[in-house]
Amino acid sequence: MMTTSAESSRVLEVRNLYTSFRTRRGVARSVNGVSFVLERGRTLGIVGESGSGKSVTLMSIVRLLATPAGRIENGEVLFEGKNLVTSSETEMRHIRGSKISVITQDPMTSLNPVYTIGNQLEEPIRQHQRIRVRDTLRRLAVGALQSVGIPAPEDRVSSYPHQMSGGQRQRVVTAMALACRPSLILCDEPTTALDVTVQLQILKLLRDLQKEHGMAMIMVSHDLSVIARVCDDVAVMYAGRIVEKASVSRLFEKPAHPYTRALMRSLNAETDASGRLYAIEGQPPNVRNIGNGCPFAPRCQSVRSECREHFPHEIALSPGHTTSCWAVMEEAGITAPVRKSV
Amino acid sequence: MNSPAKTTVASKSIGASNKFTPRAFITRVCELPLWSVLVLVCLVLVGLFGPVISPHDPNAIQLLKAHASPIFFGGSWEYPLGTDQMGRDVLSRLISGARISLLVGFAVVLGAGSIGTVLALAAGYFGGAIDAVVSRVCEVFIAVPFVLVAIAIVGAVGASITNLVFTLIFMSWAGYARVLRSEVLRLRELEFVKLAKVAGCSDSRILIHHLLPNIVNPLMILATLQLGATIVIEASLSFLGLGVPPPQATWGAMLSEGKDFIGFHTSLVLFPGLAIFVVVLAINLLGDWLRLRLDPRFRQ
Repeated sequence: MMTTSAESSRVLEVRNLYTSFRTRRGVARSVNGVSFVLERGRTLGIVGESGSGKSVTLMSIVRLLATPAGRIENGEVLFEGKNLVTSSETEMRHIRGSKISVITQDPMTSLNPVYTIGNQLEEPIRQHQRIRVRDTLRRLAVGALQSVGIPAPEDRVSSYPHQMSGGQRQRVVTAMALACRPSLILCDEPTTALDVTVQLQILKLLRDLQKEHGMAMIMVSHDLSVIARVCDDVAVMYAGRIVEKASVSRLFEKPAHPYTRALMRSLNAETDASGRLYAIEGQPPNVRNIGNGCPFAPRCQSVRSECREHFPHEIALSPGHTTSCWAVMEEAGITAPVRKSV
Repeated sequence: MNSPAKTTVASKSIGASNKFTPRAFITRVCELPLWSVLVLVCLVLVGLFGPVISPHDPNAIQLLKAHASPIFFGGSWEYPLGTDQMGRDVLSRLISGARISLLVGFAVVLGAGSIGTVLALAAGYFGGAIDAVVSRVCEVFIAVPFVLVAIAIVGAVGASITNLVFTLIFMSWAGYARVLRSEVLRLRELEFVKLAKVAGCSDSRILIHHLLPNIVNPLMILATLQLGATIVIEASLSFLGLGVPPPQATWGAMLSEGKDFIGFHTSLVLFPGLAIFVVVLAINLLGDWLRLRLDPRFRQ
């Protein structure tokens, strides 16, 4: 099925990842058995509502969970063949920034207010490439600014973050993330805090830079239009589980999982008989209190008895399109052994 | 830095600061802490060269010349600021006291500021057990009455400059730790700290390179406030006879001794009081200016 070349083009493979947070009110199981594969040059989108574990999945990959509450309970994160879950903190420090980078959500707080942006752009280069020559660093910083389309980069390197707009800051953050030419870039809702027009520019920039450097990218968003614009594949997350995975076009054309279908309906500005917009009834479940069943069962319109007891294992509907749903399995006529949830 | 032709947000905001706005006005006024600097430079010089420039021995008692008036109240040039009840030259004693005030003030601010900053960074950044211990101890230190405990300690270990400095450091680090910790807690959650980790920075680099510069601002405010407060507290303790032991002159002790004669020889409390007032004011103004200079948002 998979050839050796396909194996080696895998940048990231996440296997059965479980992450939880120990809080005063109990253990919050934020990520419950997430698995996916990401190949070189591809972009995976992760969609889901707030609290569905999208960001936690990203932060688990780079092991930047809030300590001491956050913990990876189980699973493997294989990055270029190396399991990051068992790597030491020193090893992680070498990987972060040089091989895996992160772009965060809020450009207003993602730059240190007391340093010039040039100084901050030089930071990952200083850390990883051990370059200490001022002129070289400055030249690299100017080059990095140029590559993200900031006008007059020679002047702008000596600006402070507060002198730039949100969109420009996000460009700077992008330049910082790409400074060491990482092979994987994790974007945690990079456009949420920006104006719609600036959103488009940043997305286009990310897309172009990704193509240019052949990076793999994970784009977390709750905005399906962002996902549609940038990603090759999409994973839909709900309460810490990936309920459906498909290519972008396939997911938008033939969503299989009831949750995905409901998302698409709410996206399409569909109205009911009384002219009200369609919404998914109910609230997402409390991740402190999740049973073994499908977490979407209480809100699902095609719910059946087994849904409340066991989370279904993943089935392939077509190559690259997988989902975990008892109803879909039944429609497709698949009967499979129940995988016990941990 | 930027040509006005560029229509970026930054150049707009730089342009705006050239116009008359309250903030720009304040910034400009604060750009000239001339008097503060002058006063403090004088103080430092006086502190350093005190024995050389002082006209008389500050501790020489000449009872026959007691209670001489200052020059502008009919006194003579021999004792420009007059003499005290034991005939000691007030000017020489002020000069001699400047050294003590300066020494105690800076030593305490430096000591307490360093301890407080280090503990605040550790507590705020690492959290957990370190934070719990530091915070509880801080609360205890903030809850006890400052001067009372200082009196108790100095009373127990004896009055000397060293004891005074250590007592004041011991009693005042908690204020720094408390305020700066909350600042670190706020900063720690900002994304640039996370991105610094993503960039591969170690904890120590994040603490020193990314967090410390961001708390310099509140640290400066605290330090200048405390430098003033320390001089005043040293004066209070000396006033109570628990500061620097006599016959060494300090501004506080001079006030204390002068208070008995406030009715007929007012200048004995006037000059040390004025010295404390001017120096503390100068320090506070300089601190304000420094705070603005250190923040790039006000520097444009």
